[in-house]
Amino acid sequence: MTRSPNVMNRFLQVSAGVMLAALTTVACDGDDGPAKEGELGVGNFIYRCVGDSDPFCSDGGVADTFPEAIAVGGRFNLDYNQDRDGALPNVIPGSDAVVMDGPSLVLTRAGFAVVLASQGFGDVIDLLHLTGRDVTRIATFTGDSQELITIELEVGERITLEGRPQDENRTTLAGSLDYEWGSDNEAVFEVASADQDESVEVEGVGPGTAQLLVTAGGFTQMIEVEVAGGSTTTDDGEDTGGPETDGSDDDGSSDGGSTDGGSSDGGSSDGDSSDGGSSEGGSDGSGSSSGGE
Amino acid sequence: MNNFRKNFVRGVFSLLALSTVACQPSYGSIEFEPLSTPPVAVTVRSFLIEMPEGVAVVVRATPISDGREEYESGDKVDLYSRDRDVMTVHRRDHRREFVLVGVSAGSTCLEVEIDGEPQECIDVEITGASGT
Repeated sequence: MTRSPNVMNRFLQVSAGVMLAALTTVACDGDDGPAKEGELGVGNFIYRCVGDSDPFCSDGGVADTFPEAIAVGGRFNLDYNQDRDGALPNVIPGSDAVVMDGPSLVLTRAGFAVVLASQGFGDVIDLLHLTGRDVTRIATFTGDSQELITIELEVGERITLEGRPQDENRTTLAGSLDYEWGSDNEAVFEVASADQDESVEVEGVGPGTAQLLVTAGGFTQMIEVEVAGGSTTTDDGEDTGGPETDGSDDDGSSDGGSTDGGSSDGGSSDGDSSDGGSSEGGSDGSGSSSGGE
Repeated sequence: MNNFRKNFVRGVFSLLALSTVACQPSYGSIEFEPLSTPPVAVTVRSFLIEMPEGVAVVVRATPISDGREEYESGDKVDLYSRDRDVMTVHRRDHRREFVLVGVSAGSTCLEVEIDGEPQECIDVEITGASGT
């Protein structure tokens, strides 16, 4: 009588085990990474991200799909697992279109680049052609994956942006690239934090328009940044414009000279906040990921 | 009588030697059978190999005799690129299967050896990177 729940539990355990095994078998294709079958059908090539700036591995370092194309200069790794028994093969460049950079692979030019899975005395057991493409644009996104054509900020507002290298067809390219971010007018906005990474924080400093410059994969993209001095808006809606450097108020609104930074709540557009004009406001990071838009 | 015997024996040996030579296959050409499908068209023929740089094709190489005797499966086939900066050749674990890789644009030739004996060098043209 008392065995029934045990039997049930055992059944559930076994069922769960079987399901887990089945899932593992399916997932094994990728071995925790996306896989692509080798062209000789012996096994699978598995894509591995290197570093954090690979747009294919935004989630915990594991890519969701095997990339269609890889940025020239982008670093990545490939593993190989085969269906048959045997030692794990090495993945090696087939030509100088792809080279080893330490433990990583790097494409050196646009076009096809073959990689070989070799074993034993260099016998090739499988191969795969990768597609390398030049970066021809860098799309800029906010956290909500909405591509930004123009970035609109309030003075004191801080926003996190993410760059994604793309080809001329707007296909996002895989591979870790080094990024350089900059502002062409730091009186309008500043790059608050950047670590050669694909993401960056920018902060509105003073009203005006300036360009955000991002370079990756040998390509430089300019994105217009419009900073509105929310608290400088007059009753008739006219913005007095222009960065204020002396911290004085010209219309009684407390937009300039804030030094505490604590009110850099970004996105405030009601014009009564006292955050505008602060050049160090927001250093506490508050509101840094407000998304702006 | 002794002379007849000597001549007879010589004749038999000569015939044996001749028949041994005649039983050897005589190299005519090599036939390539593609075993992989490259992402772009490549030419792999017995007299010309043409492919873009960065592209590879797996082939099975079968020597063709132009004599009455055919090559046997035990006859060893080797392929070597004369200029590895232009094309490389990788072995597979199966005999007579090779991976031909276009390394960089240029011309070279592919040396064919049968049982260690050089036979010919097939023209190789590697073109610039193909559009993707």
